[in-house]
Amino acid sequence: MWGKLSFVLLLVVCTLHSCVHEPDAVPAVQKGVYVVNEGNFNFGTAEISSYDTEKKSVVNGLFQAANNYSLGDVAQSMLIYDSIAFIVVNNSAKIEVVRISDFKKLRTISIPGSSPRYIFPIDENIAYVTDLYAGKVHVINYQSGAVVKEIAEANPWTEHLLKVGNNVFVEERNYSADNASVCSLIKLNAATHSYVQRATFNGSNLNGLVLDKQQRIWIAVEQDSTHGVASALVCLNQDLAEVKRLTFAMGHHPSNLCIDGAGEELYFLDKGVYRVSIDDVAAPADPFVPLDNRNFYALGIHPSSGDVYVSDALDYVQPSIIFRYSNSGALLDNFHAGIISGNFCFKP
Amino acid sequence: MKKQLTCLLLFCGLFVNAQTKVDSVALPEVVKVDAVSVQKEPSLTALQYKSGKRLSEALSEFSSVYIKNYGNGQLASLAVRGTSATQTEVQWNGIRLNNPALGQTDLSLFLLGVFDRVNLVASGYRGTIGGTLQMNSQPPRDSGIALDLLLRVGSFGKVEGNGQLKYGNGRFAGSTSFTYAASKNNFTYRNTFLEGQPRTKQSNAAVRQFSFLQDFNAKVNNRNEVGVSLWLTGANRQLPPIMSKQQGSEKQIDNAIRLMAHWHGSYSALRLSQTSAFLQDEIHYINPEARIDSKSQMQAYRNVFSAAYTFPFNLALQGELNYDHERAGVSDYGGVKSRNSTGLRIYADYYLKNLVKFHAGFRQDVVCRRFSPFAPEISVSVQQTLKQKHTWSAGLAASRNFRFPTLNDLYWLPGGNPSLRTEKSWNGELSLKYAYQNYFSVSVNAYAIYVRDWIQWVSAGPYWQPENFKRVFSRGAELAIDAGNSPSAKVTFRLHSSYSFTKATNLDNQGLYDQTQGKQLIYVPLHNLSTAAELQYRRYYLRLYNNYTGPVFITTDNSQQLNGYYLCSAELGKDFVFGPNQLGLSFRVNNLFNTSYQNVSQRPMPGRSYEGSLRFNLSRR
Repeated sequence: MWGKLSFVLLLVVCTLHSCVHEPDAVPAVQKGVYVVNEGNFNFGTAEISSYDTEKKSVVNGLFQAANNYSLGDVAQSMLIYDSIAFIVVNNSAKIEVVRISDFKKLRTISIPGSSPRYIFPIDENIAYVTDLYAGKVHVINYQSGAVVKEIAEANPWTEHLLKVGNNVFVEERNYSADNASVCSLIKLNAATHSYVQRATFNGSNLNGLVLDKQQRIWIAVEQDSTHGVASALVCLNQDLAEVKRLTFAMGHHPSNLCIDGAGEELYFLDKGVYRVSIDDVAAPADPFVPLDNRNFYALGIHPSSGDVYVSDALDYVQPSIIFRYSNSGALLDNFHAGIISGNFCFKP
Repeated sequence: MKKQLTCLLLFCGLFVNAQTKVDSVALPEVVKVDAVSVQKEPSLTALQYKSGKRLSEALSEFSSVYIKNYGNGQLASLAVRGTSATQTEVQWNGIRLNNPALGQTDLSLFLLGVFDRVNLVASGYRGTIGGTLQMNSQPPRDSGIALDLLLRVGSFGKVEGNGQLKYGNGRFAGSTSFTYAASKNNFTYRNTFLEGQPRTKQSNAAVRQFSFLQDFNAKVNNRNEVGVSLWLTGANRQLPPIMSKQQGSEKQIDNAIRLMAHWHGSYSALRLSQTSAFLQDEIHYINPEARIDSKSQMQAYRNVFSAAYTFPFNLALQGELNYDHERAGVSDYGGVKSRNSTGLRIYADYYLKNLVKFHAGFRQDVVCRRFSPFAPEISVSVQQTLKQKHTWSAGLAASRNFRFPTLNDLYWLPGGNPSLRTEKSWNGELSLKYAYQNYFSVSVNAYAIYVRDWIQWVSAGPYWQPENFKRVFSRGAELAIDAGNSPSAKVTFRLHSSYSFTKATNLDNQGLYDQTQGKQLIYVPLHNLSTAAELQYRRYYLRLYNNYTGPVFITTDNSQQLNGYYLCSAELGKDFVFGPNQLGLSFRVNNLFNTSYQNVSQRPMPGRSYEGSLRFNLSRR
């Protein structure tokens, strides 16, 4: 009798235990893209989506599914480094470090009082983090989660960063492009975590920073309408001296500057998706993908396939739609991601 | 992006268009007035029990109106029947208070204890697309002196105090009121957005505010009366972080000066009046993290002249002429911006055998040489009482209404759009009411509002810009029931209940992939129910306030929503009467069932809390 009862009790306990929701492990995307969805500011609806181009399947809400809590408020960017991924959650002042194989959280790096934007690991322990307001670049040990240094010579808003050799180049942005006539880029020494130099450019803002196959830096400079300075794609050497410039007509606003995996073709958003070779001498006149009454918000180029991903944020208060184009400009497919898809992340 | 949004949210009330709707008790008038409170009548909704509280709290308890509230003492905006907060007009003694830069009004800044009456007019009133909230203050008409004092203390550092002195000798009359409210708001809640859902203490949420009002009236002679009023309000509010953000240091200081003078003349069948007011709002927003220290000052000079003439054949003709000058000094305008507006409204009421009332009129405004749409209004209402017990009434009304863009919409840099058109609406309403003496009444309103050229801030490349973006169709119904037994009974019972159903949908898709057509607007609950009940025995009373707010969508394609919630509060008290004087004691439990809820996503609200009140009313004739 007691034996049967014990067995039944054990069965009940096991059944109940199995009812307790355990977060699901989310398999890594082998061929495809991770989409970083900002979510609405102060709504806490940031999330990660993934799209598998072979299965043509999309998974939304990856982080919540894998970890059983919400990602936070305004996911700004994501970067995969070896077997881990960093997700920078801007208005939650934190960076979630997840294992890419199952998307489980490894650790949460909080930087109190910060407003982090992008992260770039410079070695096996140290990463640089840019900030919307801090006026400094945070140097963190991403293994321990500690902030080890602040590089304080930066302008208030730092954005994209790029490591070339022993230097890290950081894009500085102006809050109000309407009142600005100068924008800038700084160079940091990654060995000493110190400021090296700043280069300034005529224009109201910088809108992207990439490296081409010749190890040259390309930046997108926004026009300064007050002083009649047109937008341009500017190519710099590593001493931040201008090598060449592709100038646009007034009224163009190149942003979201990207480069293909080979480092040969530049892509950017303006009145559609545009493409230009690093060897061209003039800005492109016609879009690679026309806007067609869409609200393009983010752009990403798959490093190996060359597929072009572009998000349409629609009215910013509903899930974005992602379009995937081939590198010849043919629409391959589209899918719905989360709210305000603002960044694409690919496995290197 | 976030920086831009911070600024836009602060000054524009941007993309989250606070949509709500209203509760309304149908009267056989064109204008449906929900008599939210009448201080001198022993009503369930008597304002005297609410002194020191914020207007937004009282409205939520007394009616099924939905108020979008960012937290205790934080921004609270009212919108009516699926329209927006900027389409709702807030008035003080007939003068429009809406901030000329923002267009909307924060109801948390209005403390009760200084008004004698608050009315909520559903929609389509005097050219307004949404509702009109009327707050009135006036000195006593009789001789004598009356002093009301109130002190309330409660959980989370709540302290509220009110003093009001009214005095008059039949010719001169004055009223002096002061209200103070403070709270630390350091309540604890379960943070469902963080790992492990920890208990979290609300931080950076302390609020201190005051309100001072001085009214003075004088009867010049039997025909003429003049008066002046000065109303000062101030609020010093910490702005708490959202649930997904653990730290915050934002702060906002709001100060307002309102000065008003009026004259009323009555000459047999002719009545004239002139009211002039100077309004000044200052907002000082500080966000150390974002390096923002922003001061804005908005001023408005408003004037209303009205004339009414009653003909001997049951016809009344009335006209109103408005002249306003508005100016705003906002750093993001690149200088001070101003504008003048003039409005004319003429209407006539004709009564047929005291049974049927016909109403017809129009309104025409001119703002900076731009004409508003011609806005006609027409209605017919019928009322009949049978055997002095049963009263039936019915009304049918239609009107065209409009709203001019705010100064932010026009001049904000970057993005301000001087070529914006006015928002326009057609409002229609059917109302029915039955009342059995003073014991029972039930009313039903059904309405429809069609709005086009709805202004919304949308992305315009590198910045945001307001555009005449969408068309909205809002329709719904409101039910209100009042019941009670004889006031002379040993045990008295009273009930006031109202329910609103609001279906407010977007009519158009913006492009091929937009999925918002036919979807409910965000932050507009389909269902809202409010019930207040009172049981009284020998001046002991027990009151129960119940409110159910239905789920609201937080995405425009209706794919995500915020859960609905039910709240119940109970108040037990006794009034001690000493001749004409009264001492009142009460104890109240708010959120009796400790419901965990958010009115706005990521903005936690307090669980169960307690408060005790001491009230003293002295009167001398």
